Amino acid sequence: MEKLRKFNYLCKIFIIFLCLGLISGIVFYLNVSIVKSAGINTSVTITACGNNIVESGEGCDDGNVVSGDGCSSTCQTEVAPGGGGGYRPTPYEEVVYYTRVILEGKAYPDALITILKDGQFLSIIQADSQADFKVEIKDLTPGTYTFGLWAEDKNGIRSPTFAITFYIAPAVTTVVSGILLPPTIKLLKDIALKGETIDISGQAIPNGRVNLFIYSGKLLKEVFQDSAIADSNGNWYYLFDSAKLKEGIYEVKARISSQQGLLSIFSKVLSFEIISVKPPVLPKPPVPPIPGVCPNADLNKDNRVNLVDFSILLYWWGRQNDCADQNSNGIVDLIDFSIMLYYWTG
Amino acid sequence: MKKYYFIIFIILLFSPLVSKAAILYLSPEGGEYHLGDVFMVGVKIDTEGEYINTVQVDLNFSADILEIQDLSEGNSILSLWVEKPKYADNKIFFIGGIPGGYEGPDGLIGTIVFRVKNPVRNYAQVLFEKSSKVLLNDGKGTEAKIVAQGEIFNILPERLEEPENEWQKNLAQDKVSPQSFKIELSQNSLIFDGKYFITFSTTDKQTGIDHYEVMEDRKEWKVGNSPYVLENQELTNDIKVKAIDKAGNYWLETLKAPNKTEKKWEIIFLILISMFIIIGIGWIIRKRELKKRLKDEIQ
Repeated sequence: MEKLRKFNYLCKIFIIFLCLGLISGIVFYLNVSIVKSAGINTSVTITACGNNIVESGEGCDDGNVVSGDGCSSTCQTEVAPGGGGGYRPTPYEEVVYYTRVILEGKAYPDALITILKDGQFLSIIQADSQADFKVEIKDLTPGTYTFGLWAEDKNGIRSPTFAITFYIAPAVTTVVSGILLPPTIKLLKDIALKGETIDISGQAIPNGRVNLFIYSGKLLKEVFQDSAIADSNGNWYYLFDSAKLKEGIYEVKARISSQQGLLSIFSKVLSFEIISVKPPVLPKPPVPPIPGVCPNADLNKDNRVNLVDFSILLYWWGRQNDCADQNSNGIVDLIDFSIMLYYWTG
Repeated sequence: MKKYYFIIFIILLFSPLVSKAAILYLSPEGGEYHLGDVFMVGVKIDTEGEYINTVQVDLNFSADILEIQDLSEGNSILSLWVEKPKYADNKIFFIGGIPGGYEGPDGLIGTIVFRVKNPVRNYAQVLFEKSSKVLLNDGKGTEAKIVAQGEIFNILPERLEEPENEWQKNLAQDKVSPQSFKIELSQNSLIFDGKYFITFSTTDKQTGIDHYEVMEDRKEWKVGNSPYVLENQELTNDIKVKAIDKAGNYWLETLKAPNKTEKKWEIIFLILISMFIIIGIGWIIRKRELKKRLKDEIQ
């Protein structure tokens, strides 16, 4: 009887622990879900014009991608031409069926946007003064494609690559709309005395809300969050009061939400340090370039990260090389490959 | 006590929800195949909302029952391959990445083409190895948590009719060439002793790239991969690269020789031909003039 009571008691403790674990697990899960969805829940929509199905954003879909037959090549209803004749339906023989993709969205005013197809450079386009861009890609065969887009702002700072993978069906126009490229980000200084302000700035869509996130460098725990509004030229800046944080190393990143409710992926991540004592200012000798170090996976230092850098990485695969070993773990491996893909410019 | 067991059961039921991880899985889920059948198994990933950029998939399969007919990267979400998909004994390896990252529920990594060679048991399994890895597109190469779901296929004796061959049908239907691509010439002191090399890469949306061939001497095609160290370091010849898919369709690209110099005899031949043409034309003109003058004199 005593044994049974003891067993019962142990069971109760075990269940309490399990319940506590479950509750903390659920809380963790919910937190993770919120953070993750906030990280990737961008507002891109993909529609296929020419598949005979009227989808969101389409006014019509007559099964082809020809204008002049009452339904335009981008599936918008066309007004019948004047003159009393109404529109002339295109004879079947004249209907052109071709496979193409239209990418449209927002970057920064007059920004140069590089388009990648399956990681390879395709073209460079320029956003207009309102930060809008649109590119049409033809001569495609049906299949799964990954299109990547990254922008360079007026100060030459690059955004990370926004990539989207989808299947392109034959003889339809696939329209990817609502692309919002992440903001660029720059720190005026990366070491600040506690109490000093840190200037964080960059470019984004005009009048967009830039959400800033600061993480503790060691624990990657979010310690600060605030937002700034970009001006009509797309410039944004934020003066961060370092007195709000303890001494240490921090990471900062930003993302943008538009007035239309579009949401971008995160900007590049930058690091800064808050110190309590100002280090003595010593006369700095000219710093020669460190031969072994190749920041941001640009292994041949041509300001691009592409197949040539990938070739250099493959050459050193499984071996030690200071330049290709991006995470400095003593070997060129999968992690260095992943870092290269993050910084890929095509 | 019964209520405790019930609570434990509920906890165990919901515990998978607690952790979030990318899921590696195979498609189709199971199936029945007969001796001699050739069937395709897609290796897929559900990123569960994460942005990933690098995948290393190691699989093992029942090599006593199944044999590999082919491995295809056709229509894969991976566009850069550290190594082409390969197999050895009962192991299969895929290792590649996506510049800029991928997020989605059904990203195809690659396709395995199996043939049922020997139905020694009534089932065959294809399982993911623990060494499989998925890395996040976060600029740090952080390893994502993964859940791997292998499959068991039912194996039956020979069918009365012809064995099925899905792969053959796919090959027969593929009439489309690989995608166009660019050949880039490079030289870097870090690799290949500073020798010139070319880089190239493309994809095929149907059956996948089978191999590349390079020609730099105007005579012979050689099977090669990117990066390809050039034999002719003088760069005096055009360099041609052919991407050939599994069905035999190909796409050809040419890089014009940066230091193209015509051979001496070609130049001499051209000069001689030019001289002959000029002399010939001069002779004809002279002859006509003489004829005209003679006519005039007679008149």
